[in-house]
Amino acid sequence: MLFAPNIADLPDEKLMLLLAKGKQKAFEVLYERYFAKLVHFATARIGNVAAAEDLVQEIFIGIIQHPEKFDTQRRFNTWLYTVANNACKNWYRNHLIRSGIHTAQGALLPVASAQSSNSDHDQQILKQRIRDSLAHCSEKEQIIYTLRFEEEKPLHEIAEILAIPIGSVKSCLFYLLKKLATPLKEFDYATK
Amino acid sequence: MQPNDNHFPPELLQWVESTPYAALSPQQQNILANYCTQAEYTAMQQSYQLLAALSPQPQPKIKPLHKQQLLAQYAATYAPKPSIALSLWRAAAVILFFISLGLGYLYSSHKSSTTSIVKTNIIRDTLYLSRQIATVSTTIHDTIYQRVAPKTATSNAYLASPKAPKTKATTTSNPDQLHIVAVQSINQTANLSRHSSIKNDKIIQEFQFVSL
Repeated sequence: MLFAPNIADLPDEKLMLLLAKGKQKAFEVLYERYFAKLVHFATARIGNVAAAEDLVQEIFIGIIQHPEKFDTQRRFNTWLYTVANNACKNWYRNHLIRSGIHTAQGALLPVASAQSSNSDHDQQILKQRIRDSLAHCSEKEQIIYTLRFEEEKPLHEIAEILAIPIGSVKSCLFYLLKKLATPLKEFDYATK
Repeated sequence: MQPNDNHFPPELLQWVESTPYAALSPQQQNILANYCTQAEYTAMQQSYQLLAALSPQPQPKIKPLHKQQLLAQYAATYAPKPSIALSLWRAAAVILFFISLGLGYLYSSHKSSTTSIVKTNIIRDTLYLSRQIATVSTTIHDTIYQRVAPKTATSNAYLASPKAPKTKATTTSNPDQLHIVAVQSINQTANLSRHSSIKNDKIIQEFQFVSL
């Protein structure tokens, strides 16, 4: 195979096939592509970096042990976020049962990243304002915000991850923007 | 309060993302008026641009321990097992060897095993015959009735047939062929023990002679 493509350039779905055949390099590439992103996503969902890391590690162990669970008809990226979203739901449910805590919002809020830079003070204030505003939004709106503005997922992928119609995603995003418009209005002028 | 998603115009979000309020047609503005005011629309547009321009969250630094543990897990799950494979081949070869040995033994001992079966049959046959003899010895004393077909009445014409005396005459009419047993030979006792002596003949005993 003189002209075999570099394994790092292969699409996720091909890498999953190679992973199932025992190619460790394929697993490493998938790990590098998605582990940190999923930890960020899970942290935004459950509000605990260490717990999010453990959660994502469990997801990857599941991929190692049962790669056949990946539906090859779907995109790996979307499938992985769906798995992560469901894992966050389960974690949150178990966490509530263990701690006896129940909030009206139904989800924990994203926390400030300890690794984030303090160089742009305005950005930090803006992000804190967004977090405060999201605290008053529903769980679905928080997930859609994370997927759309932090993970930069297209709308159809968000719909697939959440297993809802794309019209619902658009509607939810529209009303989320409406909710965020007022608290961010003042800040918008400050950042101009 | 949000209206039903089914009735939400999907193009509204696209307008917020890309079209200023002044650029909307009057018809679009009328549709938009059902969901937000002009001021809200403008604020939503600014918020969207703000969020879209927001620098992405820095990816959290992952501890290398996670990667090491996962790679170890992967290696444990997908590691090749040559020793087991080799022993499997060996086991298969040994099994084949024993199967061929067994087949060879069966083939070579096929004749002898057939002979032994025959011997067993002979023994059984002998036992069967002894029983048969016992059965025969008991049936010796049985009376066997044999049906005989009834004789048809002979016609008188047969008695009146002229050929009958003629036939008898051909056998007995020649006096030279008569064998007259002498009286003194009656006393011969050679066949007395078997009761087949001529002395036992009732005609000789009554008339002292007989013509054969």
